[in-house]
Amino acid sequence: PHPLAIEEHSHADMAGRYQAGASGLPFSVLRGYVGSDLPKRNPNIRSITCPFTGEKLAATPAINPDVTVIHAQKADRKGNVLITGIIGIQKEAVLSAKAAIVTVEEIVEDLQAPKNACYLPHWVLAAVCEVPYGAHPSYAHGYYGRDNAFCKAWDPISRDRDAFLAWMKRHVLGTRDHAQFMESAGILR
Amino acid sequence: MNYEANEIMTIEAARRLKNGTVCFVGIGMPSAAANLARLTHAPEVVLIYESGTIGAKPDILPLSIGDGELAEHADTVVSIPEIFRYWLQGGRVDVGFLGAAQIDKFGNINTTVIGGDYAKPKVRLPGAGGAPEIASNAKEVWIIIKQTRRSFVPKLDFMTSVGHLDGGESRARSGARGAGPTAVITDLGVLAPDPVTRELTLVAIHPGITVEQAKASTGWDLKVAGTVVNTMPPTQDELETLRDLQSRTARAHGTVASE
Repeated sequence: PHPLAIEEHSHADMAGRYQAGASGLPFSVLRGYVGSDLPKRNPNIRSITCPFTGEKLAATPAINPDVTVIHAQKADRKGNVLITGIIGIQKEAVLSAKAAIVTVEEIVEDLQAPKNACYLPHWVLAAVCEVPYGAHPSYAHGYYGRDNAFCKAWDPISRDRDAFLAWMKRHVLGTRDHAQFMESAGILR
Repeated sequence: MNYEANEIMTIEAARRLKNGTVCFVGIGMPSAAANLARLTHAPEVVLIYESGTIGAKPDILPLSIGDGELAEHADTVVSIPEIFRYWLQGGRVDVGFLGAAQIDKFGNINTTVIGGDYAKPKVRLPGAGGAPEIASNAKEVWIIIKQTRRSFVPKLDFMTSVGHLDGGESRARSGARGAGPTAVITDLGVLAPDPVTRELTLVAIHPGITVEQAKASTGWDLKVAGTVVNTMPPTQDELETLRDLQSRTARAHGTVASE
C-alpha cells in the first residue's frame, strides 16, 4: 500500500481553511495554535502580524478541493439540495471545491426550505444522486441512526490488509450500486 | 452507597457547573460531567459542542461531536466555522471543558501522540480536535483526567493545547486569551494553579484518598496546598442520575442506534 501523507491541523483551523477556500481567499486567519507543537510539525501552519493591532495570529493556506462529495437529506427535481440537522462544514466544503457531488436520501417535489436553511442551489453542484442510506455507517438526521455494530465490525477488517482487500473486492468493487453493496455486506436497512 | 473513582471524578466536575454557564464540551468524560450537571443542579447550563450545537440537551451521551442526538433538542445549530469564530473566538464561552492523555505541571496537555517520535509514535491519539483553540479562547479551562504517573508527566511527549505554558506570566505574554486552566479534576482529587507560579497544586482529595497517594500518582514532585480539603462524597441523586445516564447510553450505542 502507498503510505498516506499526513498534515495535521486543528478542527477550528480546518473549518477556517475551507471557509477561505469558499471565499476565494488564499489563506485563513485564526487566533490559534498558541504554544502548541503543531506548527513545529506542519510547515503549512505559519503566522501573520495584524497590520492594525500588531497581534500575531496563525495563518494557514485555503483549501480548494478538486472534488467534494457530501451526503444530504433531500434534493428537488432541479437538483437544489437541503441540508438539515448538524450542517458542520458541508456548505464550505462544496463551495471551496472546483466540482461538487451530493448524494441524497430522497428527491422530492418541493424542499419547503426555510429562507435561512442550509440550501445549495443546483447551479453550484456538478451532480446530485439519489442514494438512500448513502451516509452508512454514519447517520442521516431524520432518516436513520449510526450503525455502531458495523463500525465495531469494521475495525478488525480495516486493520488486516488481506481482509480489507477481500472485503472491498467482494462488497464494493464486485457490486453494481450502493443498494447491492448493502445487500452483499449484509447491512440491514 | 459505594462508588467508583471515576464516578466521583465525574460528579465533582459536574458540581462546578452552574445555571447559565456557557460550557464548550469535549467528548468523553467532559461530556458525561456536563450532562450530569444539566440533569441535576444546573438544568440551565448552556452546553456547546464543536459540531455547532448550542444549548445541546442529549438524552444519551454522544460518541462524537457529530451525533444527531446533540442537535435533536439543541436551542440552535450553527455551522462549524461559526461555532469556532463567533462563539469561541468571539469570547462567549465561559468554560472550556477538556480531557487529555497527558498533562504537565503547568496544565499544558497532550492529545496528539505518546512517544517522543511524532512521525513514529508509540500511540497515535485522537489529535487536537478543537482543543488548541478552546484552550486559548475560553474564559477559563477545566481539565478532567485520571491521575497516574503516565498521565501526570514531567514533560509532555507533545504539546497539543496550551495551559499556563512555562508558568508565571508566560501564558498572558503568549497571546492566549482567557485564564487558562483553573481546575484539574482527577479520580484522586482536585488541583488548581498557584496564583503566582501557575504550578498545579493539590487543593482537595476525594474521601478515602490520601495526599501521599496523590503524590505517588504524579510524575513530578507534586505541590500540595497548606490545607487540603475533602470533596463531598456523591449523593444518591448524583450517583443514580449518572448511572442512569451511562446505562441509557450503553444501551443506545451497544446496538444499532436507529433513528
